[in-house]
Amino acid sequence: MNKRSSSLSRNIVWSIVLISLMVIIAVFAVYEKTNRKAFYDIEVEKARLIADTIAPTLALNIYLGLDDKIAQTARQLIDNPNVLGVKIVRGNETVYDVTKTGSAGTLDAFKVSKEILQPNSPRKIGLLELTYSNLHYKDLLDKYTSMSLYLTLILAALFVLYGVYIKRLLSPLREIASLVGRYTPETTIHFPSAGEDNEIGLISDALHDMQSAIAAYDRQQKEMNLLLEQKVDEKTEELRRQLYTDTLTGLANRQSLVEEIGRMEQGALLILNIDAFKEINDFFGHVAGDAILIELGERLNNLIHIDSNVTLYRLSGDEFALLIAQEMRHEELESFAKALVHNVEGMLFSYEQNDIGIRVTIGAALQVKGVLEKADIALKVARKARRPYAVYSKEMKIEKLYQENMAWVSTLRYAIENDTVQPYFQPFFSADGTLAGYECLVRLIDSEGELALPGSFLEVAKQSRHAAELTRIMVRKCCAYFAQNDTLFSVNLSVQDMLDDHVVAYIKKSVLEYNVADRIVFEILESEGIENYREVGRFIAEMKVLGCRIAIDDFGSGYSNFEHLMQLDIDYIKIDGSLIRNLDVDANARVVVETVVGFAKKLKIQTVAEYIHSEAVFETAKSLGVDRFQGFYLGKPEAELLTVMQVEEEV
Amino acid sequence: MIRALLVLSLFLLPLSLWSYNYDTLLLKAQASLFPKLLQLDREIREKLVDGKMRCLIAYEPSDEAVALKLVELMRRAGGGGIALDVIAMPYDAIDGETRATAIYTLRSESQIARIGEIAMRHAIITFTYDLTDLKQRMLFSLMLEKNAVLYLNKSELEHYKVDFVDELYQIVRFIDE
Repeated sequence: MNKRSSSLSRNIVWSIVLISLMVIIAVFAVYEKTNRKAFYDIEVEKARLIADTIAPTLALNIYLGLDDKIAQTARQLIDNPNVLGVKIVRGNETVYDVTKTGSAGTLDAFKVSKEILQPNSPRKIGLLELTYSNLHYKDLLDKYTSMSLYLTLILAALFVLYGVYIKRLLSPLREIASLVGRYTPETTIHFPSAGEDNEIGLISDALHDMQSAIAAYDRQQKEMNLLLEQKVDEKTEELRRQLYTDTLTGLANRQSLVEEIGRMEQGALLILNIDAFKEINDFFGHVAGDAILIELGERLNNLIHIDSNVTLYRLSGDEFALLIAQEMRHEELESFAKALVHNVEGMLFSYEQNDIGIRVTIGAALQVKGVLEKADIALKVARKARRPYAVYSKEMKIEKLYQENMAWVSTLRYAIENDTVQPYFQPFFSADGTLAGYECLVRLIDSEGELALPGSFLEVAKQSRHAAELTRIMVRKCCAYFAQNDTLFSVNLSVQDMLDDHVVAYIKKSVLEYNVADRIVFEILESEGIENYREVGRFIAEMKVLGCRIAIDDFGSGYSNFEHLMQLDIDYIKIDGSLIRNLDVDANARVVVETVVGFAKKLKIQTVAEYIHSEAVFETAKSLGVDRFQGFYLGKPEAELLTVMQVEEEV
Repeated sequence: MIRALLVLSLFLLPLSLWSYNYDTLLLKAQASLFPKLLQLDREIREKLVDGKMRCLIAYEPSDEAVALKLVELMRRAGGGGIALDVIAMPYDAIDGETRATAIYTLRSESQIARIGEIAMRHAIITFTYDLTDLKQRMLFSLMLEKNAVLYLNKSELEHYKVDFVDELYQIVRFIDE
């Protein structure tokens, strides 16, 4: 921005000069005009006065005919230096006409005429004409002009002095502006004219007070900033701690591990996962679960304390990681993992007088690049293979696993598109051997006509989002199939199916369309029913309204809260196969089954024993009061329902 | 021409033998000026006789011719805006009953003072040929010096009921006692 260069003092002086000049010019112009005329009028008046003065005497002389007196009067007139000429007329006769020799001429003179009247009478007897000099008038004008010029010069000089005075008077303001322009709160300005009893002094005092206030405010701000910086540092440190630290165990977290891996050039990683930790939470409560996690962290730290190359992290709920910052061979890592599993599974965690043991699975990897993902893959492989640990290696053929999964996705897509999703029906019987109903089990027939079991494709279907479609197909086909007879039938649903409003709507529509509400049973996994209690409860309520029935599948496989589970208003409990399989030889299993059956009977819930694979198991289950029986011993899943003859044969 | 000179000689001879001596030029000057002087009185209208300025030429019997000549000269000069009546009258004929606007006196041994008394009493302006007569209470006289000089008797001015224009006083020469 261009700053105007003129100073305040200069502006003041110039404005006064301009106004004064205009006033002077105006006054001068008016005076010039009026004075010129006045001067001229004065001269004319003087000439007239002379004429008027001399006229009576001249009139008397003319009247009396005193010619010599007339001449004498004329000479007296001409002696006046301003009178350049005299002309006296008596009647019509010019009796005297003299022009002064050496006069400037008529250009520098004017004439005044005066009629001569007879004394004591209005009768005109002559004329007096005076030629009067302008020189005095011009002298006056010259003097007046000179005086005006001198006055202007004096005024100009006065204005210059006044300007200097004003400039000097206002110079402290300029100094103040300069000082304020360089002001910083760290400096102290001593303002000029401070303390003086004038406007600049007052400004200086005010600026001085403002400076003090700013300095105080600045000190306050700095102190506040310092405090804020401290707080920010503390908060940053806290956030940093939170970012890199697991709040429950105080161990470094996943973020910290990722960054440490990024800095690492060689080493190994082990991911330790507590098996079925959710069941510990469910059975003993989350407080117990948290206590176990904290204690496990401490114990793992104690274990690795002797080796400074190993760092412990907590990755998620039931996962820990051990980062080894040294080069290891595959065998060494396997030994480490094996020893770790051994140590951890040998630990007992006490909680409210309960000794809780845990089982863990470890996935480990050696390569630094992608070590976290590789250890994770190794963990999955170990869990799938139900091994306590696995070390990632190319020989795990992970790529092959992915290829297989991709092939299953294609098979699923083929089956859905070509309608080769096939329900198989496994019968279940009452204790007296009568057919009680069928469990509908999903099967696929691939493009080559081979039959595929759900264990091969169900997980892939969930991951590739084909599960909902499979459910829809199964529900529709089963409803359509059993619409023609009066047999009870059950269909397996996952919790994802129950959470999907479209699937639920489709189920309702199919049930109503085929009028099978009073014969269809929906099987829900115990673990899913507990984990998603509210959503499953809502689904059950909706189905109950239609008249459908509900079964809890694989009951007893976990640590379910019975009381909680019973509130779901279920009709059947299908006891987990792990309890039934060895029922004839496992006394503990028998106790559990007997307890479940007794409990169910009190609640008027029918029990179903799965995995009846032998007569001994069948008989034992019957002896324990189980209501329904299902298994290969009684009937395998088939594409068609049993005929009456077959039923009799089975029985 | 000769005849005229003879007549004039015959006329002037007795004058030189029986009357006072008079300066003809002065007489002419006085005759031309006297009526004009009367009109310089602001009160002249009050002093008219039958609407005219009546000027009496007072003379001794020996000066009758001069008086008549003066009458002629005065009449010729005229009264300006006011009618002029000039009458030659012997001193003896003039008394307190004589009505006139002004009286011009020629030389006289004994009559001048009386005429002055009458004039002052009746507010008649007086003009005398001889300057010395101003001592006998006459008002005006005229002498031809380097220039024509008009004399005014200052000591008697207040006794005459006259009110002359101011300018007159600037050109006259005052005679005091």
